[in-house]
Amino acid sequence: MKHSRYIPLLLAGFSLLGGMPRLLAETAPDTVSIILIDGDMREDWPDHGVVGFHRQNTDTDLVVNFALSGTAQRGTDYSVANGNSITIPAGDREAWLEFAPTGQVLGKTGATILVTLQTGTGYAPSAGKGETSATIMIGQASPLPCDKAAIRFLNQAAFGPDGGFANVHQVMSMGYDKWITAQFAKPVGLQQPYLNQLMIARKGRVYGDSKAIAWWNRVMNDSPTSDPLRQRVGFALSEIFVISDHLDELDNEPIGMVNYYDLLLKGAFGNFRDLLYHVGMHPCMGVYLNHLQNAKPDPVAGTFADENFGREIMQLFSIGIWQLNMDGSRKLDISNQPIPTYDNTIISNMARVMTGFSFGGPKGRDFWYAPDNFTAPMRMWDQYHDVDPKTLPNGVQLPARTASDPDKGTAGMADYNAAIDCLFNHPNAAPFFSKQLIQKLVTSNPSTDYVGRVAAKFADNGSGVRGDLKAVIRAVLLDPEARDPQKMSDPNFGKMKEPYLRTANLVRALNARAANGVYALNYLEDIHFQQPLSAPSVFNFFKPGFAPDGPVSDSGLVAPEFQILNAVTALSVPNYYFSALQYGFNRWGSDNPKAVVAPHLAPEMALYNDVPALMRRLDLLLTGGTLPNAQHQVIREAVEQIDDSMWQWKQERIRMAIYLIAAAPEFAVLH
Amino acid sequence: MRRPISRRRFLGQLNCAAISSIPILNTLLNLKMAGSVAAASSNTSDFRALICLFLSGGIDTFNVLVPRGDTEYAEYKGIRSGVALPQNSLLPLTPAISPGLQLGAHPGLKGIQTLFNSGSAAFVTNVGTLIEPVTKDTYDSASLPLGLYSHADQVEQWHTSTPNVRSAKGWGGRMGDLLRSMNTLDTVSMNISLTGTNIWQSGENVFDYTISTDGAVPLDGYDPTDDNQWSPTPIRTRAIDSQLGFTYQHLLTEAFATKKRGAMDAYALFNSATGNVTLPSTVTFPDTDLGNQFQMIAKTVAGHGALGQTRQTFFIEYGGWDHHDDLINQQAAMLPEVDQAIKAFYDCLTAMGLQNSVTLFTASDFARTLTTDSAGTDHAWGGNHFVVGGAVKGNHIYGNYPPLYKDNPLDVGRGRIIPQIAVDLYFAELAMWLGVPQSSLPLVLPNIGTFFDVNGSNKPLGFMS
Repeated sequence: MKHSRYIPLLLAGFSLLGGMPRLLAETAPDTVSIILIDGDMREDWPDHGVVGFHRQNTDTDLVVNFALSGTAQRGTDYSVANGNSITIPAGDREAWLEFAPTGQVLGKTGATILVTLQTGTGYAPSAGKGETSATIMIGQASPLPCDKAAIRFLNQAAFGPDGGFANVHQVMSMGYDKWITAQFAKPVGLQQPYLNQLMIARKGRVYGDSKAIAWWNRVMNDSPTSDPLRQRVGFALSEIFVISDHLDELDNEPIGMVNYYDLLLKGAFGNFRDLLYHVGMHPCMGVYLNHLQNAKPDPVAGTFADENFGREIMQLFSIGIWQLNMDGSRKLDISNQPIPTYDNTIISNMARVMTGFSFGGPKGRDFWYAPDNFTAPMRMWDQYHDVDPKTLPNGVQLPARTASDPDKGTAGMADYNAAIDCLFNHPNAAPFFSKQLIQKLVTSNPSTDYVGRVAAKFADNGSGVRGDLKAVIRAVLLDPEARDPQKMSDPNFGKMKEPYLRTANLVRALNARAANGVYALNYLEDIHFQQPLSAPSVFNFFKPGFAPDGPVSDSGLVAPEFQILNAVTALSVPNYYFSALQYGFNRWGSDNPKAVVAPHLAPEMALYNDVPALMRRLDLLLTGGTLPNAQHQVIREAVEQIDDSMWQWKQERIRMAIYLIAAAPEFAVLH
Repeated sequence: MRRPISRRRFLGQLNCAAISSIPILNTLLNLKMAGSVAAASSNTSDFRALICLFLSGGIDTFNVLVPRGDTEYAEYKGIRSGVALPQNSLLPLTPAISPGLQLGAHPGLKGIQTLFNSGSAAFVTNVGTLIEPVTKDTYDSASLPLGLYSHADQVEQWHTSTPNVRSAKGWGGRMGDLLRSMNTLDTVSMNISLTGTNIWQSGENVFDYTISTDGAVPLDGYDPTDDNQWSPTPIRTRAIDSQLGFTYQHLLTEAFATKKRGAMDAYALFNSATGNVTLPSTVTFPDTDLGNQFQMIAKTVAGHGALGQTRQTFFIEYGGWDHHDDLINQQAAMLPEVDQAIKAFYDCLTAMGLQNSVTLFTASDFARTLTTDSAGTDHAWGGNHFVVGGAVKGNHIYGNYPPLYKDNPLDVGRGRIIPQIAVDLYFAELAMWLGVPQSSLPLVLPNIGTFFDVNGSNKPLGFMS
């Protein structure tokens, strides 16, 4: 902090009386400059335009004068604090002038606000180029989204904006609804081809870590047929219909696990019933939850049907443990207690449904001795299937069946199909799934109305079809609660971005890629406490009902992603970004420079000498323009303190700006 | 000395409403603890640390503590068939007082065997979650723990000790809330986890501080001692300090910022307290995850003074015990890792003279069915656990080892054994050792009154001195 000229002169012994009073009174005037902090407004987007008035000396309050002109009309087209001056308080270097849209429909070309610094007492306007005025653009309202709105949408529906804003412009020109429709029409982006490429590159060998590489390559695919919505929903599905390589047997089957993930991708825009059916038929799920080679009970040998899958398909994949209203709230009995959807007896019955499966494929000719096949659906053996009657949730009764001979598994599949139908048609299925999807994409604490609206679409897509996932996804993303920009200032709205997806945001925003075209981003699990297909248990990385201690849980709200935010990940993730900005995103770096997934920061580097412009770009790119003014100032001033006396000072400026935003709460939390 | 609270009055205040009681429970606990109960035990000025080794997945502990006398072994072999351990592979346990049958440990537990036979370890047998005592006859009508046989629920109940209601606060957190006034500093939480956030260590005010096997995680590029004017580090450090000072109206944003601030403060203190600890060179920890985790605990225990802590808890979750298949091979591979890490840890404590100050106990979601679906076993209920430490009254089997034969009086089907010791009793013994006054047990273990008279003169189980 600079001291005024008074103090050294006093210490030097000059008298205030006689001597040179005029010299003492006339300190060098402070210099004030204008900084354009946010120059983009739109009549139908609540985000403020912001101009900053900056000075160096902080001893006293300083009143700074300005003039407002331009084509926009003060009061009609925008609102701003009264008067034409602003006070920078003692102790502060900046004060901010905020402009709010009034919702007026402007002419076709929008309007401008020109803020011009005026002279005043105690300061002189800066002599620097462009530092005495700033222009804010106000765009007219439109049914099509502005860039900030599009970025917010892409953070919910995909993996955030591209550094080149190509995907942002796509959403802006198409609008949300058409973008979603176009996404539904894209061919399925599978991960298997990337795994095949890896096999070739590694001479036939892929290991558990290859899955993550396939995931990144598919998610970062930018071809015209790329399908980010499907990829984002697929990731959410992988956190609901969980299988994990924490089970050693699956860690050895990356091809099978990728095949499972591809199943989720293929089913993401189909029908929920089909998804549930295929999830249960996949051998990876059969291994993970033990209904593969789960033989019917044998009273003589004293063996019983394993209940793992029978329990979890109900508890986690379809209906949950409590009966729900369509709005996601629990039904209560006359004593105000929640009502279970099933009991231990029903679990045993469901377990008996899930008997008789073994490996499928062309060589799946025996229950016990079928060779491993982790990509073909399991096949059913009536001989090992419990054909006795069963009671399922919601009073559904399955009759005794007759085992087929020759054994085609028809009795067992009749039971399995009936069980899937039972769970699919259970009233719980709609709210149970809908609420989880909302929490994965949009907000941790949706209103019951929001859940109800989405669940209604699950129950009936409008054409009498139940379980239409396209209708559900569209409902989640286009619901007023998801799209209303006023929710951005609701203190209880929004969600923390999952750590792994935050990194995906950054990779995309910084245009990070390797020269050899491969995203070798495996081994990121310990940094993020998550990685696709690597959940610590079938309960995913975090439970839908988790709330961190303090104001969140005190308010009765949840914030599931916080379950993996602890004293390790609060620092390990920013540390990873710190390293990535210097050495690339590969976990252990790479000996091969062509393999380094490096940020490509040409657009940022072009702005090294125009820090406000650099900040505007990064604010938009990384937070959708929501960086608070004080945060903006701290970061901007830090960047400006890096001067040409430092090694690699231009790169350091860019890295400093990106790091300080990426490590800030504003990047981590999506409003 | 505070007036003890009777179970009936306590439950009455709760209204016994399953869901709505938890906010009331928390408020009640807040009110009681605001009075800052002083641990009344006579030797509480010394240092004590409690370690929970949570073997998640439901460890098959009827292959950990096994009958080895011919008659009982035959019962064991009869019901376990393909997953029975060979009789001659069992490591003999020779308790000072015979429990009425001969028992052995899994062959992979040589260290535990040594500690047991020399008096530094004990087994507690047939422990499990209970809302109320259950018999075979009352099984269909009694109140059973919620989600009995379900991983998530049972793990949660070993963490919370409230099998009648789902909760995200644990008995270790409640202990922490109660005992934290014994520590001079709470910059670093007294509840330290080596494996991430967990319910057991979550209290109202005390939370679980997660460290890694390298200790606390520093923030790179941040260094308040760096004054190199050619380096961006001082600039970055000042900027981060400013950022850490911001508060937010938005709930989740503020929650995120709070977490980061806390992480920074805790790192600084933890680093200084443990960074200079040199462990005795006479002990080598195995280079496994578990070995490294116990080594880190040893350093933290050694540094408790600098951390300002006379009471600490530690949590390690070591999972993968859900052996629906391949039980024999999996346990043969995994149990020695557990055994060797614990033995090295105990030896290290002894070399530092801290073995009486540290107690380790095992926990798990449940044990497994005595019957098998050929090579594995399914979720079950009562199981066997062990405690290790100089303060343990070791060389003893606490509880009655259950009969194992099919349809025995404790078998509710498939060899699922009704626990005869509620986890509340197991936990109560440990909580009291850590410093919770007997009369305050209901504040930590709300259901303890069902199983134990907190006003009586007996100990819950008597395995701690």
